Amino acid sequence: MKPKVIEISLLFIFFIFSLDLFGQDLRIVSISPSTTEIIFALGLGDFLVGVDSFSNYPPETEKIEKVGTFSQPNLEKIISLKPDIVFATGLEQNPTVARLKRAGLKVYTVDPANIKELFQNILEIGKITQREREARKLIFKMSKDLSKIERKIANIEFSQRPKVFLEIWYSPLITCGKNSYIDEMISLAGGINIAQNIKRKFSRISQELVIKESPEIIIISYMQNQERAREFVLSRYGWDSITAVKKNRVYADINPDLILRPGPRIIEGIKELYKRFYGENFD
Amino acid sequence: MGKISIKKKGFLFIGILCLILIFLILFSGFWGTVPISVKNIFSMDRDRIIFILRLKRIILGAMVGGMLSVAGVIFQAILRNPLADPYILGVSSGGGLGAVLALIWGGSFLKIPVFAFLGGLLSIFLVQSLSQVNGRLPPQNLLLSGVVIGIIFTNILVFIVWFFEDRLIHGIIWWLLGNLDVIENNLLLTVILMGILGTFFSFLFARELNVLSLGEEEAISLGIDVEKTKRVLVYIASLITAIAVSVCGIIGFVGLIIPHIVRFFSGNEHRLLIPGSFLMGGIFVVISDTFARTFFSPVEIPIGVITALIGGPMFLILLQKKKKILFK
Amino acid sequence: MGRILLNVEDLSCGYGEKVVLKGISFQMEEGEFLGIIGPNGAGKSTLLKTILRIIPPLKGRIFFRDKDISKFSRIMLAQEIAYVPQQTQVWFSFSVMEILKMGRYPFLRRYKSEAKKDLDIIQEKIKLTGIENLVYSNLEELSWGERQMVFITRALIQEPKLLFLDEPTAHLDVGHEIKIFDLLYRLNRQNNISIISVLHDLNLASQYCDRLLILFDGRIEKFGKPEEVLDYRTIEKIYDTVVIVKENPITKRPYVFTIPEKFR
Repeated sequence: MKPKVIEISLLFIFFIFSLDLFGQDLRIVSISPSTTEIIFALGLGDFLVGVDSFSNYPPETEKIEKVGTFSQPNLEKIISLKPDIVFATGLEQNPTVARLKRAGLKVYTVDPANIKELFQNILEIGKITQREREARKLIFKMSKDLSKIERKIANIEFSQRPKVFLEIWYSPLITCGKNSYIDEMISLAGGINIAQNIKRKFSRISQELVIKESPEIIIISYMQNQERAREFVLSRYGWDSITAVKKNRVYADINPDLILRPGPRIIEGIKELYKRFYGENFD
Repeated sequence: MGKISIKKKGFLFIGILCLILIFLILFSGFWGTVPISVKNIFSMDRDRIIFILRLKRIILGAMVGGMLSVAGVIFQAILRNPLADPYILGVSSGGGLGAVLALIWGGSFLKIPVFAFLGGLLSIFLVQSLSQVNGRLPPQNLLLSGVVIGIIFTNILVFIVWFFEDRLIHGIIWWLLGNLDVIENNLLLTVILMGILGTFFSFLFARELNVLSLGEEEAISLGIDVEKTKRVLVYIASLITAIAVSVCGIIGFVGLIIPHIVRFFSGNEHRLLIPGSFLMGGIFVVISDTFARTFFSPVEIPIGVITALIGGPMFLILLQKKKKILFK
Repeated sequence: MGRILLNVEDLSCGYGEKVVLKGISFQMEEGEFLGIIGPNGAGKSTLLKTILRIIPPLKGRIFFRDKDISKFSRIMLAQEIAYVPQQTQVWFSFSVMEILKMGRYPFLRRYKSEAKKDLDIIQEKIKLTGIENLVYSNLEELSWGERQMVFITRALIQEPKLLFLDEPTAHLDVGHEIKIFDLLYRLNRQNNISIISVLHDLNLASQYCDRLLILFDGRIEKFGKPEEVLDYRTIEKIYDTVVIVKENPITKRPYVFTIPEKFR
């Protein structure tokens, strides 16, 4: 009789404790704007106690305490918020990640090179935050949307798909290559990235490549004024020979966060790209 | 008899450099990401455009390489310091600050070179004002003020980049590593003009530079108006550096190394050193740029990386050879 | 000899606020070999640099051949007066020929290069000072003494009427010292070049100079022939040491014997 009572009490106490660990008191800090969006999409917005200054979507992020900039997060601030877990990206944030880990915090980095990895990341985030069900739901929805897009695009012959140049910066000229999800998004939206053979995620290229390839579409991701963008591109020597310029298909009106962030909104981003590529709304 | 052939040797030297540079300018255009052939330049539109694009970039590179080298020669002479380079008086920091401010404020894209240029001029103006003592410009003051202003501007720059990082991350790459694939077209003529004028005017002061690099007292006793000469030369050198930086960002080592390489052939005679450095600097940058845009094609290596990779070891070799002189 | 070459009137020299010398007045005749001596910090170099317009005078006037020196353009002055400064660290590699050619700069217009006449003068002076074997070297390959000869030659290439030297034999061994001063003496007597030299060695000054200008305490302590001004009282006063002055049996000029402490 007695040992059983002890066992049950122990189990009960253990249960109570585990509830505390992963229940209402979960504290999350995210210094990766794309992860912030994922966290909100998983319904965990209320548990976010700190975000970086770039995390601007959804609008609720405005009320969340800022822990510094994307490349210079404030270590002390993050530690003082006593997070249970910190979400970051690799590469530029690696030094910070190392320091946070040394300070004893639990850090998880996301750096999806393609959409498949993005889904994996979402699932893992879900597992860590005990929101696995919501994660699977999100992935499922996104996959469904993606399938819809893929089906529609599959009907378009390769020869009919437009060559696309995505300009990430102008001086030096920077675009995205094969190891980026952006390149994948362009393909999914039915375009052909003229830099698709470059194996670097972000790469400097020369104007020669763009002129030689003469893409039908140019997407400018660093400004939002359509008129100015077109003027700017036109002012470059030799660019008036490019199809996209001749046919006035230089676009600067897509919200860069939709295409430059590997998060839940990539579906929206792909649809925006499709709209520019094919001149009609996706749906 | 030995004296006449020295002059001839000088002309020969400059002549050879000229030929090499012209050859490079005409033929480097055939290397690049996109293969083109001589035939196609005249027939195919696209090939012609690409060739001209490359030509512009090559000429820009040659000019900037030349200008930075001449500026290096001038600063080394005036400061009597073989380790001086065009950026030593803070022109590059001012330029970078100007460029970054232009990036923040947005507006016309031409603003960046203009602001960078103004920033460079501001630096040199401040440095000159700070260095003045009784109407004179002692080289030690110039050096100190230059370093201080450079540090101050760089720190302001770093602060701004930290504060506005979203808009500036890519633009800063341009400034820090140099870029010859310049989008703005109308600047090439300005650069060519300033490059040639700057070199020409510097050449006129060749004798003064010869003596100044020996010592200011020597110069005064030989009838040179040292203060006026210094002022004019510092402005010329800063001007051409500012233009180079504002259009192409920081291309390092050129202004430091090339004068020393040319000195192997010309000695300290500035009548040879100046045109020689201009041509040699151009050759160096054109070769580096050809390498930068073909090695990992179609990916471009920033020109500043190449000049550092080649210039760095060269500098060490030079330092070894000159150990006797520098550390006697 | 006879004509006044340099006339200094009530000159005050210094740097900005700091006054180093006051009330300096003296005259130098053409063809003279003047020596300027005095303790460290007395202002010898300062005086030289002020006359040469390297630093501006605080007060007073200087006349070169009866003309106010401030009315001369720098180039005109450089055609008459040459200067061999104290040797300083040189960071670049100069060839001897490059240095020598500088001597003709005051005579060349901006757009012209050296003419035959200039090259002849250079060769002439090379022979005069005997540095033929140094001409194809670089400066850093030479010894201090040889370098000094090069700089003196360069000054001669300016074909000056008046030559200033600032401690020309500092760092040189006694053999080179004599060699250089013999050369200077020859230039002075045979080639009619007037010389003003700052010296630290009293005996050297005594043997070679026609007159000595002794600076002390911000003013001229004494000015005159070595026999007149080099007496033990003056020397002991300005150098704060113990000496005996006797006549050199060969040159008949005063010779200063220093007395170490143990013998006092």
